[in-house]
Amino acid sequence: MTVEATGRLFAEHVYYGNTKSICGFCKEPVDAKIHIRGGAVWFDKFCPTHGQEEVLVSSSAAWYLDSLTFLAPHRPPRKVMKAVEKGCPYDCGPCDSHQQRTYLPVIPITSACNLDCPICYTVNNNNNPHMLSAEEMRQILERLVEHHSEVDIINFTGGEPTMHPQLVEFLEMCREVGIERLTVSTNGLRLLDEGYVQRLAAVDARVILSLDTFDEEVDKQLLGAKTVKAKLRVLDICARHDVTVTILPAIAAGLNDKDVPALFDLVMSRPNIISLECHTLCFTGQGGVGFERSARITVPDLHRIFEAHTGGKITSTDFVPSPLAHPHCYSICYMLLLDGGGFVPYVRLVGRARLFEMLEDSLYIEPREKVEQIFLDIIDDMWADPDRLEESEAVLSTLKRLIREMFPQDGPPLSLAARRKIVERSSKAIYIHSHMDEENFDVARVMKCCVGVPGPDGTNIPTCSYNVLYRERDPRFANASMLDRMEQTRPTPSGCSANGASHEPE
Amino acid sequence: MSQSDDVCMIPNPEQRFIRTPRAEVLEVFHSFSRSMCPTCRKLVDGQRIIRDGQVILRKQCPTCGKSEALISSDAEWFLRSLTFLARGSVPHKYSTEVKDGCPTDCGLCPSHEQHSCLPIIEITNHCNLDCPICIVQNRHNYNMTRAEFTAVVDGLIEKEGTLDTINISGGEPTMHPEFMDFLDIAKRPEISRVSISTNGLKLAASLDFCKELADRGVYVSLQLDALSAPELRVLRGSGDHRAARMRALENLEQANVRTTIVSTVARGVNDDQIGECVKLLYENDFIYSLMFQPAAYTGYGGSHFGPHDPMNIITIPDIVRAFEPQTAGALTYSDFMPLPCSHPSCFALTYLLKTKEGMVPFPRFIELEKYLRVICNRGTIRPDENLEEAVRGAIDDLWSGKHQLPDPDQILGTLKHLLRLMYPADRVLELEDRLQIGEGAVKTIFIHAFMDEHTFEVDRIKKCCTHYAMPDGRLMPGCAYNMFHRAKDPRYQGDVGSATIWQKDG
Repeated sequence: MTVEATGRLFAEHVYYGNTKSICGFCKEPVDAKIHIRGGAVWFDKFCPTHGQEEVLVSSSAAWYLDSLTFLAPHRPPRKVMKAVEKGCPYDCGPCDSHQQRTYLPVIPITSACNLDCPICYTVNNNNNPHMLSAEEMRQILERLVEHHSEVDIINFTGGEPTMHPQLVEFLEMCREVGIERLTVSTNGLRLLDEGYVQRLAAVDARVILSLDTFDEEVDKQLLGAKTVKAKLRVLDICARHDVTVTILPAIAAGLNDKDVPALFDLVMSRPNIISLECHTLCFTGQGGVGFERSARITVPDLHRIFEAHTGGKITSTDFVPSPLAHPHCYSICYMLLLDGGGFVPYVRLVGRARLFEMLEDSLYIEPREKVEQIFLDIIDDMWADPDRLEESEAVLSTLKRLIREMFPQDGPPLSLAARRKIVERSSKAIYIHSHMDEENFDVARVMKCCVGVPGPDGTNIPTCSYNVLYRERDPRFANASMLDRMEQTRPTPSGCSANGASHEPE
Repeated sequence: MSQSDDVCMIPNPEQRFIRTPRAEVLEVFHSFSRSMCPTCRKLVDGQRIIRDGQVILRKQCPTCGKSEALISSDAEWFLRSLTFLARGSVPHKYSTEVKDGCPTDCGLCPSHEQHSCLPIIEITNHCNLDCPICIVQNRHNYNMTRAEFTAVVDGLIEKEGTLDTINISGGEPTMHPEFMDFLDIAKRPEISRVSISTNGLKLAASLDFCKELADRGVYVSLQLDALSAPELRVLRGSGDHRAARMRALENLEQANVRTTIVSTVARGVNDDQIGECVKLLYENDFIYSLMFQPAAYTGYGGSHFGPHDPMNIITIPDIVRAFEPQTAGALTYSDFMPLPCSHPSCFALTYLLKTKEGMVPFPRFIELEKYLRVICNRGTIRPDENLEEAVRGAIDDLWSGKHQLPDPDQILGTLKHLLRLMYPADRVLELEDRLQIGEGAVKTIFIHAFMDEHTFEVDRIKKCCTHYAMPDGRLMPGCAYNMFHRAKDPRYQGDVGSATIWQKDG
């Protein structure tokens, strides 16, 4: 520790600022000081009842601060549904404090689940489980279209959404109101039924498959079951029916972080798998609340894994935040697949500013006209300075082919969906999505959340508020015995260290 | 960018903020801020919003509804300032416990992030003015006792070890019957400088009084504001304030008292007189520094001071921008920087090197961003090894012609002379002696923004370095005390005393 000339000590940390969190034990609102120490970022929280609590929020201060240099507009919700009474996050939603519209609605259509994962970050009730009715679904869609005309994607989740007998019907309803991208988050077990996959393929649903590891023992620790073989079979079935797939692992430090390279390779090797969405493990809900805290991992840890695995072909600066979300929620790397093999992160082709701009309309790159312009600009750049990139020749030929295919010179223009298919099959994406729990909760992130759980009455609750505070109070999802179990597994204040043990500060 | 062993995080001067095109025309959510409802004065949720190049604090009060206030007229300055980060310094002792949270637990509680760099001792609440812009509440019923004053000084030394400066204030401190005795009590080896904050009426009335101050080596902060009568009447009430201030300046000069000119700058009142104050600093050897304080609309006077539009107030960058047109380019925007040891939203400053050809702002020949340690944890320049390193670096840069300056030899000569004086070849000077040499060679311009109900942010309070010293040993962060604690201070309870206001009917 440094001593000043005056004999006073310098603090061990640098104070960056103050935000509002909730107590990790009683979930009451508390101040969280943002501290930079040892190259990492920590929340230093104080609850009058439960005392001080320190939580690692980023293993790299450089990433935390760099994310905040990306500025994108927010758009306040069209309709405020709740009055400000207790303050954020207790008045969801949206209330007047919420500053962003919903771009990704997530609909938990059932509380039924055929797994009871030790890492589960929601609360489910399998006893006479809740099943969303078609009438409620109709109302949700009606309100969504009314309040959020920009919505072009919807996500079905649960519980396990495939346990809802009307899932396919719901997907069709979404299609009818004009929502383009229909995604289903699933553990995949029901997808072993090839007929079911065919039905999903028929409505062009996209499958977000939870695949956390290739190690059966680790799978058992994370999910309480050995699901790897089944899931690999499901991937083959999806490939057969050309179902677009995203692989979604929840990453636990010291358990399945070692699997990230192989998961990346899997995504890169299969044409129908378009992205890898890594969730940083979240210590809330029926499983997560009691899960070993040494498994905490933060976004920059994953950057380092990708960098090491690709030998620097992907580094932390190849990622940008989502302009729609709070910059600490998503970290996104887009890659162009090169004809003849290999890939280049888009950032290296267009720069971080341009990529950030491309993402402004959607959480995904939409192949609209401006993409053609950007491709043409890249081609110009490559012509002007072919030595800038090792792969410039392959980039040129790939982009020219893409432009030819997406924007044909003769004949009628392709539909957006057709173009999307073309560009998706020549691109891959890594999303690092960091959900919050009661320990690293930051209302700043909730206030700009673009992912929400819509209700039939037009309400919308930002997902992390929903997972941490609201779902457990909803009798459709939570029952007394589950809440009891959660209270018993929650670490005690004195015993709780929310500090990831395995992170390596810079 | 982080240097974990170092005191300061060194900001990256190349730092650019990446904006989407629509970020220029729409609002950008920046961060959460725990702020204050200007109507009911309760702490409420707020957001810092970037809009039209400015930073707005938007608040939602459960009782009083929404409100907005300007907190920075220059988003670029605001964003850049948040990259100026320094470790806090830890006092030897805290006076309160962390119990109910910030700002109830003042002060200082162990959760506070900065030591008492600038302690203020209010020795009286009597005043001979009744200023329309007064941000405190003078009840004319309290004079600090000698025992209390001694306890305050002992307490400060106990907590701080050594102090660069203590400030004696009021009310009007010169009205205290034991004023000179208190100055003698404050003369302690642990305290480098004693300064007083005064309206100057006593100084104007008595040259002998000024001489007594000079004999004691006291520094005077003279509230000047302007040198024209109509503006002074608006800010300070009736009476010929101009004549009194001119006389005070004459007496201070004649007695050779080291003087700081303090100017409270109110939008539309005296914001065109900033250049006049700079002229005084440049032309008078006895004036060591300037302190500009954007008007805070709080307290007995300030809360009624009008016209007050919370969206059109003076903020730090407004003053920074005013220098160039009002000094014919002698000072420019880029000559100023945020002070990293306070909260960067609270202070900005520049240093001026006195050369034979005039004043040269430090940032023109020293890359202060590289040498932030020079100003870390103190607002005043301290001739220690950090300054020596910075000066030597500047000499090297000047030699190599790195800076495009009209007269580099003049600066080079001055710096070399300064080093020879401070570090003579034949002996080692005490820090105190070097301090005196430094003061003779370097002048300072500070900008210090106090908060009011509209601009209050808990974020800033936690790193406040300007503390009111209480007889009971507490050190109260300035704006927290003014907003939440002053009205309850037991010293000021009881009936309001009688006051004789100077030239009240003049």
